[in-house]
Amino acid sequence: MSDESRTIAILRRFDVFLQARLRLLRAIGGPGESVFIAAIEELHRILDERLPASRESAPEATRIPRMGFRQKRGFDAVAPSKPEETFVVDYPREMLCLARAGELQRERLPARTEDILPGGA
Amino acid sequence: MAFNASIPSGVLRVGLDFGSHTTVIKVARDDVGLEQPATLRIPSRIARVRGKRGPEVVIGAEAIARRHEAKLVHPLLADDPRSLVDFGKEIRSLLDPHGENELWGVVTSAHGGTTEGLQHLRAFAHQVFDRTRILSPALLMATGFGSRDAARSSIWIDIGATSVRAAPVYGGSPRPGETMVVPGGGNAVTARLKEILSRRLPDLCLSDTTLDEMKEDLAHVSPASMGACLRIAFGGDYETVDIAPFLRRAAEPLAGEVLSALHRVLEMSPSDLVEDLCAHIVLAGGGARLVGLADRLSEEARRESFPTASIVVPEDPTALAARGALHWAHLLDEEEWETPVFSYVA
Repeated sequence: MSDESRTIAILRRFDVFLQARLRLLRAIGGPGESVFIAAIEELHRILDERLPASRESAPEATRIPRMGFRQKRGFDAVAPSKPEETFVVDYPREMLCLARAGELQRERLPARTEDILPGGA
Repeated sequence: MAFNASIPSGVLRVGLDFGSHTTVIKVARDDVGLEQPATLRIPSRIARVRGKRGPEVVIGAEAIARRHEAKLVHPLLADDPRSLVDFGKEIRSLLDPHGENELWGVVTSAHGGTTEGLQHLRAFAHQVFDRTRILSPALLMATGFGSRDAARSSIWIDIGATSVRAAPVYGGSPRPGETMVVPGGGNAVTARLKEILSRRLPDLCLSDTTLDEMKEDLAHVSPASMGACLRIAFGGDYETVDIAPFLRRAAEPLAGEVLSALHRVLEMSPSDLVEDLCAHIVLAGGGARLVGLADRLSEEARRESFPTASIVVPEDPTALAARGALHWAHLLDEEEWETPVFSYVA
């Protein structure tokens, strides 16, 4: 499986996350924005709790330090030889940043993501 | 001990380069090496967040770290002038938290090239400093480089966030019309990276700040070659994507922008100076740190009939203008400073 299709696969796996992303998108700028910002923050906590990395399935992920809402760049503990070559994005939190910046635009949601959401987008 | 005895003690002299991406500040009480200059690098961003006691203004790295809480704004490019005022106030409080010092600052910015840009820059400078002086970035870079040969005859290429600016320096500041500006720079690399990623990985949405950070860490141009991976973390799981080809493709046009600026400077320069100017071509600004860029430009310039071309990148290319500004802050006599009458009122 290519890198691209694997990425799409992992994104699809998190239906609940995608749904929340769309709900957040609908609420941006509206009265419900803060509610959905809070909802996606809550979602992130749920993802952390329900998807604990196991050393068998994702040995490196367990070592990702939680850095608040910042991206952790480099992996000193994981790749000491070339730590500068890996850039880590905490994706749910990245969605929050996009929402705050007003950059989470409907046209940036891929058609296939919209298709899997109840009732379409 | 002050280098310039005409300036009263109790004055803190400061060199400040207000960049689109980062504001670099150099501070030292003397200019004779007794005190190593302190360097502050503050990302030029501001955000209004909710604090424990009500609304708070945060700037720089803290604003970026809290961008999930509020929109990030560039103070120089914001529609609302309050951002520029508040950014200036925060810088002032960083430099003099207890209000004990008088601050005299030499200020520069790539945005100072237009009338409107200069107005904004002056307004900002007046917000931060008690006395101020605005000088050309090329002159300050030449001063900050610390080489007499380079200061006498050289070409300064500032690869900034919004453009590539090249200017010849021979015997003083570049004259009007001698600074060549090629639109592009670091922000254009980020925009290309965003476009490429959205085409190749359409499910992936990344903010401009994240793309910027990714570019700063991993972008490169040939002949350099390096691996670059993006790790997308979901809770405890993750996915890794090879993004090296995307980064290379996004960064490559920057070399063309720099060469274009260089050609235009050489075309405009007196022909008897071209050889001397080519011997000292200095890259500065955040873009100068792009891996492989100096080698690439040297190759291309020599291939294009400039066999004496020597392109160097100083140890800290982002602080060159601020360092030069600090030197000037110590060199200027008291009567050469501007005294602000009004601070900026939104």
